Amino acid sequence: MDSFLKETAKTLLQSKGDLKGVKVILPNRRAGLFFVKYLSQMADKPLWMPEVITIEDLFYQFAEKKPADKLTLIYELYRVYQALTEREESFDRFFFWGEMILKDFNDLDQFLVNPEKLFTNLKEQKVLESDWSFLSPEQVKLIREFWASFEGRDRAHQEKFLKFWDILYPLYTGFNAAIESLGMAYGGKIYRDVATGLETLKPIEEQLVFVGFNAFTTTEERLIKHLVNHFGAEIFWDLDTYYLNQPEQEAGLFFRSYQKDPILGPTFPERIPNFLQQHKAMIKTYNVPLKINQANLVAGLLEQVKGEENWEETVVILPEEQLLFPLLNVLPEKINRVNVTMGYPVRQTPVYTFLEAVLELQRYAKMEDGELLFYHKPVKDLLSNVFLTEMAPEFSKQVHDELLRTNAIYFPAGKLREGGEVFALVFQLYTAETIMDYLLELIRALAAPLEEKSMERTYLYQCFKQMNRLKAVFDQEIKEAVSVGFFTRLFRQVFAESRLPFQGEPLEGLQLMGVLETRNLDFKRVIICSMNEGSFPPSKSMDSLVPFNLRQAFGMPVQEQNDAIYAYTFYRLLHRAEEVHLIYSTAGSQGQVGEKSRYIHQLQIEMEHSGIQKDDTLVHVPVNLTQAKPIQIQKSPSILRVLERYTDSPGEGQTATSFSPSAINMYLDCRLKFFLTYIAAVEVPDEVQEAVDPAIFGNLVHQSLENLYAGFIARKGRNWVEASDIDGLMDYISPAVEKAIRAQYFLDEDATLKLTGQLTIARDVLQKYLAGVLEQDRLTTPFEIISLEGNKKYATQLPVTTRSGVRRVSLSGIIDRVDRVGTTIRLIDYKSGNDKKDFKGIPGLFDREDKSRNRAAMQTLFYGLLYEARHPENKSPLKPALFSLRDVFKEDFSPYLREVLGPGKRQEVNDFADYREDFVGELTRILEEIINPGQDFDQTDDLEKCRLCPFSEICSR
Amino acid sequence: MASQTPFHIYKSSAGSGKTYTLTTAYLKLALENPLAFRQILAVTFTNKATQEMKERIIQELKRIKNKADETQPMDRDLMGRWDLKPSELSQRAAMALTAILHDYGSFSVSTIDSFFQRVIRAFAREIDLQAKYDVELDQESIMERIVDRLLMRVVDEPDLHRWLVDFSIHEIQKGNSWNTKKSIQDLGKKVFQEDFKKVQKEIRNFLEEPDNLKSLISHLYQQKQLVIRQAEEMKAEAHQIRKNLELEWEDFKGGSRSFVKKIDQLGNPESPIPELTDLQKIFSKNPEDWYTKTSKKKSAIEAAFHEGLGELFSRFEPLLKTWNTLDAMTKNLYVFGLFGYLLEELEGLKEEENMLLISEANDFLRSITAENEAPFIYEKVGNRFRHFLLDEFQDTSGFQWESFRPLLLNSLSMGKTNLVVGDVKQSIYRWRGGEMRLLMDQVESETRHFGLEVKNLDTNYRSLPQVVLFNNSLFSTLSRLVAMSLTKELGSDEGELISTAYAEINQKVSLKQESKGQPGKVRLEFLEPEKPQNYSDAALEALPAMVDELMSKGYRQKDIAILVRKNDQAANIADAFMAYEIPGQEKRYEVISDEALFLHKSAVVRCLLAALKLVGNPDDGLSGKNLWVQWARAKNLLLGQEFFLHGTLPQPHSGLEKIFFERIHQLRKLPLMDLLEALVELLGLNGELAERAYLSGLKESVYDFVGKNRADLASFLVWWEQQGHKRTVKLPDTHDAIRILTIHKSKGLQFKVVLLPFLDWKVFDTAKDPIVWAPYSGDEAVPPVIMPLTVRKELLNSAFAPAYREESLLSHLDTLNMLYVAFTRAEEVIWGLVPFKEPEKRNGIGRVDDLLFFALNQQVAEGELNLKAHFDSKTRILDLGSWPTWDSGVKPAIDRQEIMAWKYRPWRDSLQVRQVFGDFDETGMIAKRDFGRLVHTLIEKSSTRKDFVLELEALYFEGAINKEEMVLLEKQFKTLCEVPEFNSWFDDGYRILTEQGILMPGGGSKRPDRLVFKKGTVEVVDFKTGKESPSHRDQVRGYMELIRQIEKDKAVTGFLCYLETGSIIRIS
Repeated sequence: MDSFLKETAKTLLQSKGDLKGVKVILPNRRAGLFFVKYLSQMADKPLWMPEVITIEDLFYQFAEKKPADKLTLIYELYRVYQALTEREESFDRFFFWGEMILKDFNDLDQFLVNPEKLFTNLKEQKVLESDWSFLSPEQVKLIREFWASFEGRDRAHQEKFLKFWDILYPLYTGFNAAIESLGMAYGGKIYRDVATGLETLKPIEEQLVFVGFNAFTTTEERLIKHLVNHFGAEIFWDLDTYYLNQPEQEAGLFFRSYQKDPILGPTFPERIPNFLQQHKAMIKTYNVPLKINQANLVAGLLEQVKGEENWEETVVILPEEQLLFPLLNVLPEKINRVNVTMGYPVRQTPVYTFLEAVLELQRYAKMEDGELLFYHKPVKDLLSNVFLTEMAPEFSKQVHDELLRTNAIYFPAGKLREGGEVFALVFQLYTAETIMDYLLELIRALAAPLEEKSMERTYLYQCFKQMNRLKAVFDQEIKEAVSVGFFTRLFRQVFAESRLPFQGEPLEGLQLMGVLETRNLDFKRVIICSMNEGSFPPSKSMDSLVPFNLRQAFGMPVQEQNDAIYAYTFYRLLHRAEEVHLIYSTAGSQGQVGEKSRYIHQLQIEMEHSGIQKDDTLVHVPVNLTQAKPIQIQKSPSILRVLERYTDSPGEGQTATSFSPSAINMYLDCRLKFFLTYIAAVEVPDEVQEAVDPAIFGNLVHQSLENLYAGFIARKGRNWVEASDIDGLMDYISPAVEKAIRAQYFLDEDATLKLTGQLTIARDVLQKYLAGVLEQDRLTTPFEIISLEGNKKYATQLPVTTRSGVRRVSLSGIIDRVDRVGTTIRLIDYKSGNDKKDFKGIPGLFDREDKSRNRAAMQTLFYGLLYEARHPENKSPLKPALFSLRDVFKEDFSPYLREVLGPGKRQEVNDFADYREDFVGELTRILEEIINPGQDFDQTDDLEKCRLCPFSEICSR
Repeated sequence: MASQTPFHIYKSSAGSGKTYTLTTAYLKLALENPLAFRQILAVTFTNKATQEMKERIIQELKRIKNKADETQPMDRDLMGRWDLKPSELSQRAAMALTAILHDYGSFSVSTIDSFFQRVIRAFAREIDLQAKYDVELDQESIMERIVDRLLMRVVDEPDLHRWLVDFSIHEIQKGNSWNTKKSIQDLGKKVFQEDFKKVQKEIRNFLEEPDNLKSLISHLYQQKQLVIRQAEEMKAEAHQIRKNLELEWEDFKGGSRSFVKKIDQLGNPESPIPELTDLQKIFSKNPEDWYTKTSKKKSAIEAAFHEGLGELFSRFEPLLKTWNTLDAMTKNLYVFGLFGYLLEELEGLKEEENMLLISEANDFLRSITAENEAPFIYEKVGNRFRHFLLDEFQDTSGFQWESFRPLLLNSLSMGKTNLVVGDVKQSIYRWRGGEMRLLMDQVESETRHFGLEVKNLDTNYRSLPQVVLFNNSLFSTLSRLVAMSLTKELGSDEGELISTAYAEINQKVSLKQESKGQPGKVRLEFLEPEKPQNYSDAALEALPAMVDELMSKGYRQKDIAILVRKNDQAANIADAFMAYEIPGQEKRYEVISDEALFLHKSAVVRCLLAALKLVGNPDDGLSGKNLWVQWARAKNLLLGQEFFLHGTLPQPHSGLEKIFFERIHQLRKLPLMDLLEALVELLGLNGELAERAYLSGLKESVYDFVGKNRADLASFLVWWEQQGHKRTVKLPDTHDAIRILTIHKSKGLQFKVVLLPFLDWKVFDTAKDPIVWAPYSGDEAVPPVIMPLTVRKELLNSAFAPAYREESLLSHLDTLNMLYVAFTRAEEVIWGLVPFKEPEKRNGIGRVDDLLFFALNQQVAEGELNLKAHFDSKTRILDLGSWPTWDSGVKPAIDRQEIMAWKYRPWRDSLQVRQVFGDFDETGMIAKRDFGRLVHTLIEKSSTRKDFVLELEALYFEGAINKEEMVLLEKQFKTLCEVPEFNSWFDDGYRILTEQGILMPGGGSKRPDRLVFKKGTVEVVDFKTGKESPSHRDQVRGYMELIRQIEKDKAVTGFLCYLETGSIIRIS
């Protein structure tokens, strides 16, 4: 069957013979392309091509004017609004309201509404005066009803409404006057001028032909009738009996009224086609679980198409344009040509996202002592962005690392700007005055190194064009200072709509388009996705400041008209199709459920012919899951070789190393974790920590106390501490902590110390902790400090039996502090967590099944072994001690370990020697296991341990 | 026609045909006239329920349209209403259906939230919202950001700083982490809740005056010190008495465990007054209980009692109460002090980001309905509702009701029919503000004067007889048990609410269910885990076997629902089923669950995320490992030490890891969606059939993300970190799989078989630190204040006992309701697992299993099913009814046709973005070469000189050129116009056609740049840029030939015009 446009082209050609002087008006440009194609297919000799334009073009031609851009218009509107209201509303805040007002003004002009009447405040006026006689009684009723709702008590919201309502008429007139004086116009105004000035229209020589229209605005209708009446314009309607003759079918709403019109009526064809019922197209409906799966289904349907195919006869309609790429990415190989009308959304291009990130950075800028600083998160994002890494890979990485190393929450812009021109442009403080120039400059700088025909350059150019335009409007029209935030929003809005066209021969290959672009086009095979309420038809968007009843009373379009337009768009697609596939998804977004479109209901319930499938086809996606298998690493020769590093013969070319208590603890916790950390040496990436995490806090604890006592020894030249020293030490807490923080974050001594909120709190907490430790130390004075962390590393070796005989395995550890109280040597560890001091015997310390295994006890007892090794001469008791932050303030604080002997029975550990034998025995057993080639590295069964393990991903836990 | 009562309240127990009732009520209103539906608003609880209600109405209308059936009660009801014949009813239904389908937007069935959103949007201007705002649903992340903002302020605000340091120290001293951020977030979240909003004005007022808080703190501190001192004095006093009488505490009855030893605990700074057990309290009053009969120190002890020790014990109670009161107030004091800041930051954030929190909708709506008469609201919204049908009314919140009431009252005052449906027993959304008392009595009392009909729907249409009878008996017993226990624990009458709520528990079995001839089956098994297993392991192990048995009875997977309380239980169950191998079968069971099928469980998803992370940061060694570990998992390979040690993949895949790294550079330049597709392809995951639902789920996540956010990799990874873990696989309900869902989500649903594996939760669970807001005005030293209190047992013995009692009561009701909802979902089979405990170890009703245990051992009332008789104490199984006796022949699974295609093909293979005309060089000026082309385009479009200027402006407005460039271009054009020939081509005295197409026979067309119709001749002009070329001449000659064929009576002349040089060549 011929398509409507082809049929029309044929009729036109046959009736005219020659198309010179013919002007064809179509609803959109796309239809024009197809129309010309059909014409040329039918020509048997060279012919003048008729002029093919849209109805907007026609209006603009008559008016010899084009509308100004929206931004400028809204700004003009704003100026008038400002003058009318005393209320200071910033342009930022006004903008989106302005958009709505402008739309309302457009509407009321397009529909030839008398603004003075519309915006009258009838609250007090109970009767409509005589000059309202232009309205029908129903209209008057609606208006009355609206104003009647104002009866009753005075309410604040109504007052607010009226206050705003009252300025709309002056705003309208003021705005019109203002733009007129500037020689500008807006769409509605042009339409109104043309429609109200028909008498002055110059005689028209061309033969006008209107093709495929459905809904006219009042101004359009008036113009067209005039042209039909006085200049013999012709109209070709694309319609079907099905909806025309059933008054409930909204698709026929406009046609029914035009059919009755004395001027338009006669332009209707004598015989109105009845395709929808006679033609019996096959119509199938599919229900798909996810939106994204619609693409897979379309691809599947296309795959099923057999034989040679003229793909241009197939259309896939995407009411949600976002589905375009998922679909394009799964198209079957056999489709060699695709034509897309929608364009690539600029906001998804890397260039745009980069610029947006640059703008977002501004929200997190701050000036401190004249220095510009940026918040670390956006800086980090930007530094890893391809545009910056490409420019200066070394520099980006270096700064990125520095950011992590110093844990800078705010990072100085100056340093960032050193990366080159682009960096200098990105890391600037943007103000309303400079923002455009910086951005334009930035775009240029980004484009400079790119290849001339590259995609990126095209993206950039598109952005450049848009920005240039924005800049021009701001430079010349808008004198208001706007905030960077507003600019960012505007920027987003401009680009949300912006598309890059695709290359291609528009009339060839599989056709992919949005709903509105299908107007007037017919296809043999029609596939429509997103047949969901909210997508097709789209959700209500009658944003207007004019209440519903008043819109209706004054003949401005309301939802009913909107519905009619969309319904027509839908049904028209079925006119001449042979095969229709309707796809909807049950997944919604934001917790919503996908609802199937009313059109599916309508078809399934109302349309009766053999081609319609009455039930939806459910499409299934397989949902199996591959189970994670246990990970078990066998000790291969190469692993055994790595393990040799821990023994007295580290193997050729390998550096010797040793087991620390943490390594042993980790091995006991999870063998695989030990393997990944110590054998495979998998690095866990750093993050800038805004919060001071427990590990860092722990470091600070150690470091501060080290500083405190090391400083003491250096100052006093002695290493014993007396009660009288403690008060003096208290004064050194603060510098000790500060020094520790500097060291932690690699800050130079002279660099000003800028701490984040959390860190300042941590600092104060640390100071209290140190004071708490000193208070405890006061109780044990006098004591002698034997060693501090600084002179640190204690090491020893243990003989371990292996298959190849006895080997000596190296052990080492850092003891936070060793001191002597009386005759006792204390081995002290500072803890920032809530480590317990009770433990259930030595075997319990090495029992990996024990969920409450005391790691800290294992660790401090381990120190006993180390200390003995360094001081074999020692005869004093060695007493492990834990200073834990959460206990140190308790009145009954005691730092010493206690072995739990039974319920309520505990025994303080006074000398490591008492435990040595058992401890060494257990430790040796573990070391043997580590070295033993038969023992694999496997995962722990205790999932609780996986919760904070950085490797939990690897184990799929 | 019966006289109409405007307001109907239906109390609908489970399965009592609520949807049927609502649908009928809807139709009664909607069939009044074809357009009546526009004035009805039906409010449902969830979006899903909205869909179902809409479908149901349409289905019924469709059915009646085809044939009204006098045997159907609904049809009879409807016909009776207007006295219609079946055909007339069909006629009406047809008209109404047509009207609905063609004005679908006015078909108003919606959730209360979306209705409120609509109203708020209509009033945005009046309530000072911005014209465009986003509705923010994720309040948790909002609170996180607010706390971050708060912490940033610390640096500049010493007061705040001091406060937070004190807070940290306070926490450390309690043995907690110094990092208070989480505590602030947790309590801070309360600002979004209705409980807080009810009192927020008072709290704001209190906190606005900084001295208030200061004096409150010092008051609390002083009072606490006072109590401690008193306790210390008591201790000293007691010891004095003891010493005077030469006694040791061990001399008292009980020896070293004697209650008098509690005296030693007096004055402990953390809890200065030790708590006495109930028994000890009695002992303490009674000197005879202070010594053993054989005690030698009997008289001394007696003397001690009388010399003050007895009196001293009587002081414990009041002092403990004071302490508990003070302690409760101190508990959340620090965060409470921050509420002012939190609210301030919240305001700031909302303003900056232009958002409306979902929790605010109710506040705004309240102000709108309070400020406006209903008619004005309707005018603004554009819909005038005259009838309201409210479903699940027991879960309506106080604020929602307050907002709605004016509209409802407006309708009632006009004598219009309205309807409310709900069941107090199924109110389980108290944590979201659900206020069941509304349905219980408040609404009735507020609307009674309009005329009210309260109807109890008392027949169960859902379940088979034994299921109904079991539930009747179980819940009347349970409600008695709970009521009794509460009365005992909390004091008189506290249980009354429960009794009222469960007053009408007994349901009738419906005829339809009766006539099926199947009794239905109920099974409750008390399960004793074998050590070291815990109960939940045991239950998880038992479940698959239960399903095996059900399958053998002829049930299908989709018939079965497993209900749980918590999301992680659902996840564990899903894992258990996925790992379970069905005996003798290749397949495994499939499950559907919104709570369990997390995307991140999939190897493919994990693999891709690791790949994305690695693209973002190639130095990320961990992701580098993880990528291949997950990749191997997806491919069913196992990676050994070779991989972990050297990073090499096994043959034949080795090398892929290198290719990946080589590609990273290219990959980073791709837009996010394309990047994901490219990774899927590169890693060869398109072939992975098994995890397609997960892969699709990940793609859908990216799809949704890109739609709303900045579409770059870094932002996506952050988003995934925060939100992604909540994403689950979505499957259609029709899928043949076992459902796993929470009891909350199961409300309103029904299943053939319901499995309840975890009947073990706490009846009143205080572990999650529930918060109540309670007023304190105990002392004149501080202004009255409303404080957040953590609900703990101690509150019962404090000034806040009423708050505790209320919370305890409602929690008990919650639990009972939760059980009710769970047990009433089943049509045919209930099968529950309960942890077993030795009966003597059960004291009181701490947990649900206690409740069930006692219920099964309880005498039941007259006419109730005797549960005890069905409970076998040996096997510890309650068994009731029998399995269905139908033919259990296994139905063949429907072979699904695979119509989807998955093969990836980069879109750039089939499509290119068009080069945009124009480019920029380093100076930003349009390059010379393009300048010519620009002029060309402009000329192409303009017929006259005036046109040229217009087009130039248009180009400028498009942003393609700037002002200077515009001037330059205009100048260049003027120069060209100095040539008379050229000038004449733009003379509006002639007829000028630009880009006039010539249709070529057989398709195709030509477009000469310009045709100028001069007298008797046509001039064809083609403009060129660049060098002159003979082919240009041929082109023009071609045009001339064509034109001669069309314009036979005219002479045709041709011109070539080179724009840069201005040279014009005449062609003949």
